[in-house]
Formats: sequence, structure tokens, C-alpha cells
Amino acid sequence: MKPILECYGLSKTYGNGQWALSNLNLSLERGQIVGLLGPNGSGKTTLIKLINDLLTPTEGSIQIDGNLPGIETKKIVSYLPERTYLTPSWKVRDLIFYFEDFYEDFRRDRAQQMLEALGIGLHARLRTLSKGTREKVQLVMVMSRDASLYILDEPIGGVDPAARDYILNTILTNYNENATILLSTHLISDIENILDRVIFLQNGQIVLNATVDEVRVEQKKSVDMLFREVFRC
Amino acid sequence: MLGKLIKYDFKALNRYLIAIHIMLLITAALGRFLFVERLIKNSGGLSDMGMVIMTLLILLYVILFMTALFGTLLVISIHFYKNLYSDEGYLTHTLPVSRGRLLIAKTVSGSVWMLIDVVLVIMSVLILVLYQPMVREFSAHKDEVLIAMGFPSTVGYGKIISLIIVLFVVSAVANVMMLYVSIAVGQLFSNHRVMGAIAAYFSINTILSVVSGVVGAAYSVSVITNAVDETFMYQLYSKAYIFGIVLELILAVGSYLVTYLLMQKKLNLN
Repeated sequence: MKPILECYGLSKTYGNGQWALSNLNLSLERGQIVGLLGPNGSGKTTLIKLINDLLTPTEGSIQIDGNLPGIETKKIVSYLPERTYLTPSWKVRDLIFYFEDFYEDFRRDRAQQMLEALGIGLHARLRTLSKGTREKVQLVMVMSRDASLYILDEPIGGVDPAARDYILNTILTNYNENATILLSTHLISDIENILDRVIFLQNGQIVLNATVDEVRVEQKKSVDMLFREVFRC
Repeated sequence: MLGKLIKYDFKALNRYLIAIHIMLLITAALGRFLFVERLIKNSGGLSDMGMVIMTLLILLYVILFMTALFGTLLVISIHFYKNLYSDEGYLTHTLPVSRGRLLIAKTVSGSVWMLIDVVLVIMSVLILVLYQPMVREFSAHKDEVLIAMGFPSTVGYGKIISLIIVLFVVSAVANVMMLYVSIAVGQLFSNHRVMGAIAAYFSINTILSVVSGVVGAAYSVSVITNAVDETFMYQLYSKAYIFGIVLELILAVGSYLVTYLLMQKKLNLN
């Protein structure tokens, strides 16, 4: 089986003379939860947007399951951006219909179950929900797809610790063994336990790509400690 | 997938546009039955109070009339911008559909509403002012009216109306595409993208009026100086019409292609 994600010499500049990513090479195997970690401005979101076809690379290329970003890859990538993309005038159920209309791998029963567990009504208008609740709704929608690659950009940033636990559990229980989750966050200690692999990004380049076990055994440190050390200001 | 995209685009546009247009028609109907009817039946028969209310109602109608005209442009533009280039774009652009389909769906929904807008605005004027004796007078002298306007008697109303409908359809599409291309061009700026879109819109408009002004004037002069018979007005109409249609078609197709290329190659969501 091909790796789920491959980047070759990937570079991106926004035309201001600075490289958000420079000559990044990466290959991700299936069936793991990968933490994409790095300080602000290290290129995490740029990489994620490139994978999702929201930006075009300046140089290099990306392949997802052997395809360049496009219609085929969007069918198998489930993406949670770091911002809210919900239409405020919609009800929660409108969003469910929307996902059902466009994504063949969307599982409505799973979404409804999770929404119920979080106490979010299907008839609630998105405008009336709190910011944290909207983030939960969005995460529920993204995790209710049977995707091959989940890309979660700061999925737990704005929600309270209790919901954070529920969401992490949701991620763990809903993802099938062949799927890969790539998630970026600052809150390393909260998610360290669920990660299989970590990628450290600095100035648009990978400075570490190792399994969490390797970090613990070889460096004798937690990922959080290593992060603080590598990115000390 | 295209059908679903069009469905959701209409859903977003309908939300505001149906309400605006219903209000326009209701105000026209109120104006008609409360005042215009009475004025027709007995002129000068309104009390002072009636005059005040009528003035207010006419004012309301004018405001709604302008709202319908400009509001439609605005609602279509805002939907295009929000759905593709704001936070909502993160969802729209990660749907498993091509950029081309996204654009076609927006072109169809926008143009249809533009056309509905024109039809309903004209209808509201007719509701307000059209009355029986006027229609009767017109039917009695309709051939003379045509000749007075410079049409040869061989040209029937049917032909004129169908040509006007074609013009409306083409310019609805062209107008929508001009809005879209301006917004797409505005995205090339790294900051102030909405201002960029507005600047692009007014630039295109200016170029367009200069071109049509210059070419139109040149055409009219050549037609009038070469006029050999009384059909010169008709020649002027025909040429102006063909020129207008061609210009609108070029504008529509050009804008569509530029918008498509910018969406395809230069997408850069903030």
C-alpha cells in the first residue's frame, strides 16, 4: 500500500521573501496518529492548507494516496481547519444534510450520536451556539466521516478540558486502523498519550520525525519536555 | 454534484432576495390600490393627510426599488465572497468537487436571480402605473408608436421583445461575471482584499463605459452621416444592439475565464 501522504521538496513562499516551508520531504504511513508540532509561524498551517488544496505550492509536490490534491483526495481527507467555517444562519441539521450531500463517507448516525452525547440539539441554530460548542460541532462533523486521512488543525484549542477529553476519546474510538490522523496543536501534554509519532517543524523545515516511543526511550524525555527544549526561546 | 451546489447557492441567495422582492411588490400594490387608483378615478381627490401618506409610500417604494436593484448585486457578491474566500471557503474548497463546478453553480444561481430581479422590478413599475385607458390607447396605436420610434413597420413587437429578452439574459450573466471577476482579482492583494475587489469593479466599469462611449459615438456618427433614408434610426438601433450584445458576451466569457484561472491557480485563503 502506498503511504497516505508524501511531500517532495515542498516549498511555499507568500511572496514576501520569506519561505513558510522550504524543501520539505515527508512520508506518512497509514494507521497512526501523528502530532504536527512547532511554534507559531513554523509552517504547520501552511503545510495543512497545501495538503487540502487551499494553497498551491511554490515548488515541489504533494501526493495523498498517490494523487495530487484535488477531487479524489478531498473524498478521502477529512479536514478540520483552525477556524470556524460554519454558516451562522444554519441549524445543526442543515450541516448534517450538507455533509451527507457532498461526502459519501459521512455517517449521519455517528454524528447524531456524538451530538447527543455532547448535548447539542439538531435544531439549534449555529449562530446561537457558543464558540466552543461550534468547534465541537465542527469536530463531530469531521470525525463522522470514514476518511483515510484526518487533518485536524488545533482541534482542542478553544474547548474546555472536559470536552477536550470527550473529543480525544472520540478521535480514538472513531478512527479505523488504516486511517491516519495528522493533528497540529500547542497543547502537547494533553495529547501526548494518544500520539504514535511526532513531527517537529521549525522555520518551514522538519527538525524531528520520530515515534513517541523513540523519543521516550532514546531521549528519555516526554514529547512535551523535548519540545520545550528544542524550541527554547 | 453540480445540482447540489446550485441548490445550496440558491438557498443562500433566496434568504434575502425573496424578502426584498416580495416587499417591493407589496409596496407597489399598496401604492396602486391606495393612491394611484383613486387619483385615476378622481383627480385631486386626496386629502392633505392622504398626500403625506402617499409621498411616504412613494418614498418607500423608491427605496425598495433601489434596494432591489443594488441589493441583488450586493447579496450575490457577498455570497460569492463569503462562500469562496472567507472562512466558509475552508469548507467550500475542500468539498470533493472541481473549482469549475463551484464557479458554474455560482454563475447559474447569480444570473438567474439577476434576471428575476429585472423581471420583478419591471413588474413592480407596471403594477404601480399601468392602467386600462393607457393599455387601450397603446393597443389602438401600437403600429404608429413603432414607426414614431424609428422602426420600419415590418418589425413586429414580437421580434423586439424577444431581442430585449436575449439582451436581458446576456447582460444578467455579464453583470454577475463582472462582480465575480472583481472579487477574484481583489484576492490577489495581500491586504484589503474587499477594497481591491471594489477598485477592480470600478476599473472594469470605467473601461467598459469608455469603450462603449467611444465606439457608440463613432457608430452613431457614421450611421447618421451615411443615412440615405428614414430607416437610419433602425440601423442605429440594430448596430447598437449587436455591439451591446457582443460587448456583454466578451465581458461575460472573459470574466468567467479570468475568475476560473484565478480560482484554479491563485487561491490563497487567509
